[in-house]
Amino acid sequence: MIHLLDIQNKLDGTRELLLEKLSHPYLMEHVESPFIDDDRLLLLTSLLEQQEGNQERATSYTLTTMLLQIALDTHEHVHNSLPGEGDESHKQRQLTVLAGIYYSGLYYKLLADLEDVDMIKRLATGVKEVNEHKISLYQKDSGAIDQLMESLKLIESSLLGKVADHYQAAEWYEFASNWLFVKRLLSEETLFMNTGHSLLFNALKKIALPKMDQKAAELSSEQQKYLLSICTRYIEFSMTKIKTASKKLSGMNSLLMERLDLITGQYQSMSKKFAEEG
Amino acid sequence: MKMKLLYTYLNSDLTLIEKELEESIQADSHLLRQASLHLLKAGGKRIRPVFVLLGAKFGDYDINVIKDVAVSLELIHMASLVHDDVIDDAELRRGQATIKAKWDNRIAMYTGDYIFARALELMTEIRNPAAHQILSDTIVELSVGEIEQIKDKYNFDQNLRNYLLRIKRKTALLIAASCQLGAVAAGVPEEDHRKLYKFGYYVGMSFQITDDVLDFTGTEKELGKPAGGDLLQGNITLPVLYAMQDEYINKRVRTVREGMERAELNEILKLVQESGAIEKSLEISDRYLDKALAILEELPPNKAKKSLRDIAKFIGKRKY
Repeated sequence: MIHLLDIQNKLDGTRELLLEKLSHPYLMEHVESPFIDDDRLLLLTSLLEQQEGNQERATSYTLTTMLLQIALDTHEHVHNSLPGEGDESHKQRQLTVLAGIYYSGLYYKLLADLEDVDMIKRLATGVKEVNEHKISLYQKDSGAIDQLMESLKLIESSLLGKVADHYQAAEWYEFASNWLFVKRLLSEETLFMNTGHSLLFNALKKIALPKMDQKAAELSSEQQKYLLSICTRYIEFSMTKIKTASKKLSGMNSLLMERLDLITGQYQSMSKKFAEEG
Repeated sequence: MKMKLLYTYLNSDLTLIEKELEESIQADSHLLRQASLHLLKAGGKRIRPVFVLLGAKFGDYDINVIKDVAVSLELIHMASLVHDDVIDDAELRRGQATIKAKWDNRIAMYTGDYIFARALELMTEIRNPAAHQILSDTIVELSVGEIEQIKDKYNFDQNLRNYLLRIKRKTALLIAASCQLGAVAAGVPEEDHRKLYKFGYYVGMSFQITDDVLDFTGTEKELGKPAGGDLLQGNITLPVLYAMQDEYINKRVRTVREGMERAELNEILKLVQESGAIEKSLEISDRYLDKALAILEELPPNKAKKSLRDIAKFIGKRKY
């Protein structure tokens, strides 16, 4: 097993390189700092640590995939304009659009400088898939719950999946995609419980409660429980898949196991909360 | 005369590219297809594909190879338009509702990102790493240019250098890359594809300056939007910079702000129009055109060279 300190050092080093790439003085001044998902970084680093012999290439692939993910995540923060909104919020939106474009340009440049045309193609195909599924989720297009959940999973894991495909590491994809999916489901649940809305639950409501007036603001407590129970079923199923896949992986490291325990804990405390709240 | 008449021998290839453009955006999502097609059908000059094809004519021209570069560059341009409409909060483009207006900002962002990814995916059909280095540098510079544009909005103290660097990134680089990438994909020797790049750069600079002038001289019908939009949005272009050399106009221009009354704006537009700034700007545009024509002379003679010369001249004289 890879030593915790080694992987932690690698993560810190890549994180620093990533921050360096993302730093643009004017953007830093006016838009929210880009969010670096540490779990995604850990999954990519661990995958490439095991699959790629060339350390420089492994770091570049991690950087470029993270840049692209951050570019897509940044564009998630572009909201619709509001009547009478102030200049600063307008400017912030404009720069958020441009920040996403800038970060995705950096992904292309990094791989072009590496002369890695294959990886450019793989990741571009991933971005296409992600955006197709984002539109489907946003428009509540899915006709079945399985289809909706698959869209959500692909939104979270398509890019990482393309890197795993490159190494034919199907078991890594199984492990990582379910991990990212569970994380997203937990965050959608939290958002739904706190605000009564979330992209996933809005779409789920349309499929699972078809007779309900979709514009109605309030769900009854029974209806909320029903939707949450659907989500929980998918979390449980994916947790089982993660555990099964983790046993098959030879490249598990102690940091991955530590993080996995944390997610399991988060899921268990969420389940307990549901149970207590009835 | 229409620009299209300058390269009629490319018509069948351009028709093929139009078809490929439509096929390239056949997404699984119905809405994504609809949004992309909406943009495609709104038309456009397709100037980038034309430059790609003409650049390729200096080498081993194979439309089955070149078409991927041409389509890819037009898609990159289209993606940037979708994103720009979100940035500018624009309701209309070429007289039609923008994607953000017809749907919303979210759909526009997803569509723009999808089209951009499709462009890169298609571009990878070209295996030559040099092509990707040129294009990726261009894309990064383009986005930096747009960030600079926001930074310089309503900055009435900027100078000519700021402006020229901005339009280089905003427009000239993609036209330069179009000419060069067509040539690279067709195996044109480095010395010549670099000249084509320079030609595209000079033409692009001239094109953008003319565009900036037209924002003051064009009619709403010609422009597809009310005149003076650039200034109203705080984009300080060459005519404004020249006009601001006059103390009174300088003071008046500095009063321009977002959402100002049309009548007040019109007064300032008139001052710029009558200041001689339009003529001075067109002189600069002509100087770039001369440079473009001069570098063109260094390239081997062929039909494409004549078309490039004619296009450069046409761009200098265009009215909208």
